[in-house]
Amino acid sequence: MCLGIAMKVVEIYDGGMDGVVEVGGVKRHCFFHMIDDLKVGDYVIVHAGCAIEKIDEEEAQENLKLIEQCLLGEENEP
Amino acid sequence: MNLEVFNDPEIVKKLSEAIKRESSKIDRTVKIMHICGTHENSIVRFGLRDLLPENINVIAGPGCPVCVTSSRDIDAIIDLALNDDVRITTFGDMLKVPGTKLSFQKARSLGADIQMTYSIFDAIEQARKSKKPNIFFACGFETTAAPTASALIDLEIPENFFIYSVHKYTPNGVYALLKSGKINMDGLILPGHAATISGLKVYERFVEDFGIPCVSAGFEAADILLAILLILKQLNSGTPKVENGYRRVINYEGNIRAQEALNKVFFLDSAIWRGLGEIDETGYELKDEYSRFDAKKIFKIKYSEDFIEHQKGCRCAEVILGNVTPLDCPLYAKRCTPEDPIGPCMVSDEGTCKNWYDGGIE
Repeated sequence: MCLGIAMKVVEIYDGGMDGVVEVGGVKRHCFFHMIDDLKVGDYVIVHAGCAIEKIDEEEAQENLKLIEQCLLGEENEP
Repeated sequence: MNLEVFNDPEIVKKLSEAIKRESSKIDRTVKIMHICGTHENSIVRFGLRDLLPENINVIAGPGCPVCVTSSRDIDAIIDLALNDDVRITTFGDMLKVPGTKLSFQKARSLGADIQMTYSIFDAIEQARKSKKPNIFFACGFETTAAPTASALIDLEIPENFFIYSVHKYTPNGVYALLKSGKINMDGLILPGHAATISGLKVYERFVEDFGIPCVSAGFEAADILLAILLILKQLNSGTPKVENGYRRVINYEGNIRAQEALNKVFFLDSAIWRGLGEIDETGYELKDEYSRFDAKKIFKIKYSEDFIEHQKGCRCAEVILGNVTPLDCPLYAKRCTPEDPIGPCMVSDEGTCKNWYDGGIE
């Protein structure tokens, strides 16, 4: 039930409370009241009709770096 | 944004090799628990257990909110639906979950008005179109409780809309089960989306009090393997801590706006976890300011103390605790199937039995 899907914000209605999100051509209405400073083009995790968090592009890179660092550390071991 | 990289076969392979190297330094079986049904879904879907060395045992813990919803609540709402002129709305996952005698679906065939809904927002719309009192049977961990709270604060709610909350707060539940010795693990994979709301700070006491490495994970193959690798590294270095392996979504402090909404609308009371008994400060109940929505206060709800959580032979309670696997249950895939479930773990897409059954594990 905690299923969350990464979706792109394609429309934000007046007031910023809700709008439309899209993934793979499928569009859904979505509430944004738990997210600050959302822009069209941002990615969010959508759970039960509600965006629960923004996906941070910089942090996604950091996420990858963390994996790389882990692997690098491993490979350098004797 | 390219998120497919978190399923890149090359990265997945390298991570599983790194896990093998790290695990070879440990000459015992390491039990790593996750507490999220969606993690179990990913683990089965990607076949991740096949990539792990023999001494790394990843098990599903209490991570399915539908599975821990007590028969006592299900029975009481079914009784209300059969005897009063009300409509019950709830998530599709709940419909087939057996109560003591009936599931919502079976009650519907006896004339109860019980409808499926996708979200609290849909449930509110359904109420708007209905002349009856509509009671939303609100199941789910903090991930789902937060939208419930936000909706009550921000939306115009029709007068015939009510909430019966069986929302539960994960960190306190898992902590209590650990403290009582009902569950145990060497490392804990923190639930990606529940922790998006709660943040990771609330898990620091798992490290302080029990010395258990805690790492949050996303839901792609590389995310889960990364969490396992980080846990093993912590075990090998003897430095357990809370680490964020899902930084692209989780903030360490959590979603503050969601937490504010939860604190405004709900307080934490003791709640019955199906088959596990009552656990303090785990049940989200509506505060007095929101009592006009509280079905538990508005309607005469009759609770029977003769409720049965699990039918004879059903081992869901032990499956939920991660003490046995579905294969240890004599009913699994024989008398208990998704079409005709006996225990709740075979119903929800987050239930371990349902995930294993759908994954063809027999």
